Amino acid sequence: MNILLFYPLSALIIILSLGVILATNPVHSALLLVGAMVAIAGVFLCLNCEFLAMLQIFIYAGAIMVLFLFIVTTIDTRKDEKFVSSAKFSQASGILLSGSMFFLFFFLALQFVQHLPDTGRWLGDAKGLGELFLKSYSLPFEVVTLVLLTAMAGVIVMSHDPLYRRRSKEASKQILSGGNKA
Amino acid sequence: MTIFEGFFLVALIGIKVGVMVVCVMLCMAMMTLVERRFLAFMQCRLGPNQVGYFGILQPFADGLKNLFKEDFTPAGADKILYPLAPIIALIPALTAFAVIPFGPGIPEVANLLLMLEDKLLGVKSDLSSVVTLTAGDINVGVLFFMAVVAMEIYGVFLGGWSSNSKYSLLGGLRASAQMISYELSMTLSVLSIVMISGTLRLGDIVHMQERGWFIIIQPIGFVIFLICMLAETNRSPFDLPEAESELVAGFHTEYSSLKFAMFFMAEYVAMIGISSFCTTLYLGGFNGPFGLGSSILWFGMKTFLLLFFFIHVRATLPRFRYDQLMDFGWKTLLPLSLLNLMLTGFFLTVFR
Amino acid sequence: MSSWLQASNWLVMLPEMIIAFFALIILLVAAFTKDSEAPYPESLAITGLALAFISSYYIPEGVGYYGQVAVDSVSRTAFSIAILGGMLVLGVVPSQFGTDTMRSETSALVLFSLCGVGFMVTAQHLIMLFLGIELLSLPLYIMAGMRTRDPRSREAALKYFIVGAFASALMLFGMAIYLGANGDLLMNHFALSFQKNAVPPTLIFFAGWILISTAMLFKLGAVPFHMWVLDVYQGSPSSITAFMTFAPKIAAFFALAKMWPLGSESGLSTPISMMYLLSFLTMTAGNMMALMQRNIKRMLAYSSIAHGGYMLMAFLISGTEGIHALLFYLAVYALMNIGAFTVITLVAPSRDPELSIISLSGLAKTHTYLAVALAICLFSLTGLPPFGGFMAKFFLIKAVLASGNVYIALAAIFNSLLSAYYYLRVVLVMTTREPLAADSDELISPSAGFTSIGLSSRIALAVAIIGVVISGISPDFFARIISL
Repeated sequence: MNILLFYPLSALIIILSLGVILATNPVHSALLLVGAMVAIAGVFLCLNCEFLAMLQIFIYAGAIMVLFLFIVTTIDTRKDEKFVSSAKFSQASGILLSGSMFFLFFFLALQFVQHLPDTGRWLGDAKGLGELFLKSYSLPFEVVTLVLLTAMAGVIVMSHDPLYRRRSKEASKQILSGGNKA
Repeated sequence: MTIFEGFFLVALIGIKVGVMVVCVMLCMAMMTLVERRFLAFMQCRLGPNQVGYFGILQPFADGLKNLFKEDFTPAGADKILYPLAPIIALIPALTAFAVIPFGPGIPEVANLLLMLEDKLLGVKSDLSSVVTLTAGDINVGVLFFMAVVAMEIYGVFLGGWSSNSKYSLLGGLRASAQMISYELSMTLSVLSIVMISGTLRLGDIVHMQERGWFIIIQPIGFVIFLICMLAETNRSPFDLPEAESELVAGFHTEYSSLKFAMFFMAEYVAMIGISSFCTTLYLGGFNGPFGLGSSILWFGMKTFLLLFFFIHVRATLPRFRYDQLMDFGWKTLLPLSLLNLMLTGFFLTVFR
Repeated sequence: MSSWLQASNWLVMLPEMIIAFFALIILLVAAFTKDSEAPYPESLAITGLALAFISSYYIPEGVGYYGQVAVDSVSRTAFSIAILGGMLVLGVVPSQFGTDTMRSETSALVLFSLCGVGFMVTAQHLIMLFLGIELLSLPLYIMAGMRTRDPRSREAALKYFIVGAFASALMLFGMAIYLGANGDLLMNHFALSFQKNAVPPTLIFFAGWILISTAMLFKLGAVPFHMWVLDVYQGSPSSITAFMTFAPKIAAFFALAKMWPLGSESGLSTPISMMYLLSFLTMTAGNMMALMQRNIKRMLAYSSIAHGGYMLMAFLISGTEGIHALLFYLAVYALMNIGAFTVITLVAPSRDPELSIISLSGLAKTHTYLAVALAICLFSLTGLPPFGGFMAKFFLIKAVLASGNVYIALAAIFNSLLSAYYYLRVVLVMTTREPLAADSDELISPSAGFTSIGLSSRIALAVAIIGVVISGISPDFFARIISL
């Protein structure tokens, strides 16, 4: 673990994550989250997990966040601004709670150093990771696929509208079915 | 490693990066000219042939023209992201070259550097691994390239979003959806190569192709990669993000002057980058055909061949419709690349 | 290959595998048939569950998959209860969704959710536990919002999802701390740290433990973490609510049992007093708030919180007695809730969609058998003999008294007395009030309710009611059925 790089990187992650929740424009939030993802990839590099770092950028920053942005831009952000809570009480209690949680865990974390697992040993390259996935973590690896499948089925169920009639892609059938009546 | 050695190393990589960026930019400039001339040739026109011999100075004239144009910002554009988007587009395109092995190490240069180091620092360290024509042949090179290419979406997308224009937004949305869709098939076809070679280091992949290129054992993968390559760089017939018949100019409708030039450069640099990647993975990299030695010239020729393919496709094929694009990506290309992956795995287990 | 098979001991996960396999089959069949042609997906799902239930008798006990999971008699019984409950719920689903297109998806999601229960009760590794929670909860979030055109349903899905995500975040944070405290994520560190005469756990270990337990308590709906229960139970389709009342509870209780010191076995006073407080608060607050509900589903939601409070008492009992009482309680509780919600599902179309208690008035005249079934479930929920609810409470309170926690047992008894008011009020409304004008035209014959509902939900309701009665009359026999 390269401590010299770790502290600036974690500071960066915290600042970017704060930006995510404080930015009023959702696109800016999403972009700051991309930045945080890339910074987390940096932390992985500090832990000698190059493979994981690249996957972090490739999958999270490169694919998932793009889809996030895709959704965010199609929402009218100006309309949703009024949902930003202005309740002083909830804001204050939220800050108080998260602040006290932060200090609690900060001081607890000072005890932390006793058991740092050596991640670089087995997560460094694709081979070690693959062995983990196919041997000792084979079951969780399979269960993840079930979880993802469930989520996928769920998205289809939630977005499926039984009353919506799909328009045919063939131009001739479009005319026959009477245009774009939904 | 002493601090001097470290400095030397960094300086060496810095020089490499500098030379590489200049070369790539020059290639990019020439590429624009070649494309215009060639398109004109295919359409029975002349194309730009007035500035310099065969119009060879045309790209620089265009660059100057762009430099002196008005830098216009539309009303309601995002203050931060609007100027940032072209930069975000260009930087990943250039960064991707960092892991491409352009050629075998040039022994003369290596000897010179070793001598220099000996004279200056008085140490004889083994720099042979550093003195190659790669800025950094890291052990996850394939993933690095893919990750950086994936980041190229942001430039296009943010350019489209921040312009506060409907055409631009639609272009950006199309670009992101299209690139995400085709990235999947591309990754899967690259994965077959990784399975065969057993490494993610591009240098090793090239060395494994000394006896035969991977295109021979991965024909389906190569075709899939070629198609995805066109889609990833938003080139015809997948150039829907800038479809001029529907979206004016797509995501860069509102951009002018140098900002537009940067988007333009990013597109061509990405083209060259992904062609180099394809060369490295499928066409044997800098290895010559039939055991004809290895040289950077082979690499350049193969890359140019692929770039020529880009232009030829643009000149011959009409543009996809958007639903056709998505259907093709998800219902044809993705199953095909999965099949390719399975076949590769099957043959690997049977014949190894 | 064979060494991998031996090392993984994959047979221990056979029931989960069967369930997942059938869920995939259902999804595939749904994908390749037209919406209207899907031939009773529930029957396929119930077949799968039955196979899984039978196979769970024959699989060996022991550790599997490189120490990721372990099957013992408790986890097997808990999972069997969930499977049986799932079968009954799947019987009710057709009359909830009718000819709606969502039935195959619902069946598959119920199966996935049950898979999650299986992974949670057998998990020996926190990653497995986390994945189990996600696999259990994701289908529930989706099914809560299944009626996409109903704003209440959408609200329920969103609320459940956000609260669930928050609980998951707490759990992940706790897991990170746990990893820091122990060096790995195996769950046996809990048992090791809470042994008698063990080295006292460090503060950092406690922090991780609290956070992970909190995530479980969220799933249970224990009192400081119960706010989501109401709107979610009310907004979800009633048959799905029946599933929600028991499946997450079973999973969370037995996951919690693996990480919480039972009774005074650890020699630490903190966990005991925490559980004391949690249990008392949960049962009291649940009952108090149920008193003033006008909506039957909201009333049952609070009642499920209160029952969660009673069940938390099991953690005050050392040894296996508390766990066995808890298993019995959960089995009866699942049956009672399935019965009650099935009746609600069946009467809902002819009553006002808001399902206020008043809208049930005169049910005894319009739908006699349904009213009787609901009354039995409500009597049982109150804890009146000769129904299962009484025996469940009796076993639990007896064990609590034997362990020396007199005050909490007294509190539970008083709470049960209190709960009689709101349960019996529903029975009173059903019997004494005249039917509302709107459905008096339905008053054809006393068995009108029976002919108009589907066969499968009729069977499911009958099984649930018989189970409730048998568990009250002959608890030993009942216990043998659920392989206790």
